[in-house]
Amino acid sequence: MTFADLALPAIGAVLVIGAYARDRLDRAAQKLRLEMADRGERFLKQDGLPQRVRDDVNFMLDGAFGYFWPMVVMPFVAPFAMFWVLRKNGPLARDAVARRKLAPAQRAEYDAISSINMRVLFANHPFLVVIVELEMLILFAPFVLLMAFFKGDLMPAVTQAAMFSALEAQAVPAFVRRERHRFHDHTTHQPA
Amino acid sequence: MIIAEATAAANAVEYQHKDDKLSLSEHAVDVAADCWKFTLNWVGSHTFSFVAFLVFLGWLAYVNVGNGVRRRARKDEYRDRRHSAREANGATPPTSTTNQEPEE
Repeated sequence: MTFADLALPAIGAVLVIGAYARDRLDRAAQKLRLEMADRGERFLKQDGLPQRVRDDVNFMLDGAFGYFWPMVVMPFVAPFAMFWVLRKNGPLARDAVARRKLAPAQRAEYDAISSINMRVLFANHPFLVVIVELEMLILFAPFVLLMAFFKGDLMPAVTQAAMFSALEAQAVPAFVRRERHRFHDHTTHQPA
Repeated sequence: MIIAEATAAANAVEYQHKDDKLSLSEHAVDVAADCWKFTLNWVGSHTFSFVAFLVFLGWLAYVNVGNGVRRRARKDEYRDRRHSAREANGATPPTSTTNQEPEE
């Protein structure tokens, strides 16, 4: 039996499993999406939230069903954008400043919403998320060690979720903006 | 039966290969005819596989269309939940800021 003989059944099997897996993942993610909608909208109602945090939560809520093209581009962009995101006064630094302005309870809620969003994102794009996570692990882990070695900073504030969020929202802004508008047009009610 | 007849008819066609005189479009017609003939031959000799393949494609399309319909319903459910969550949290829902330029 040659590789060519196996290729067709293999493609067929992938299509069958993929079709079912996609639906089951989507169904599993729906509970979390609804929870994210409740908690996110309640969170946004609070006064005095930094605009950056507000934008980030809105971005998560708008993208509950995935931003397809940014996620397709991300594995290629992430290795380069990672260091752009981490630079001094870069997106991650500004995120950290905005996060510090939150009260402890707000910060906990923000983290919980981010955590739910990561799970939803994983269900939306399982393979792409794994690829980007691996890239982050391979590139970011040595970077942290180098920072600790040269600057004595293990960067505890830079979490995986924060890094992913910054990459997703800012590394491929053109794509994000396009998808965001597309999603926004047909899923978000206009205020009365 | 139909397939067998079509195969026989296609086999009966004789192509006049005049490579030095054929234009590009004539070549294209020639190639297309060969492809069609090959397809008919293949279908004639692999009828079961062909029918099975069509059934598989149809079933796959059915499953994917179902997935799409359910996904659309989930999007609607999510949109409604967001909307009601906004209303539950106050009369003036905050507008999404996602259309604004990111702050720099």
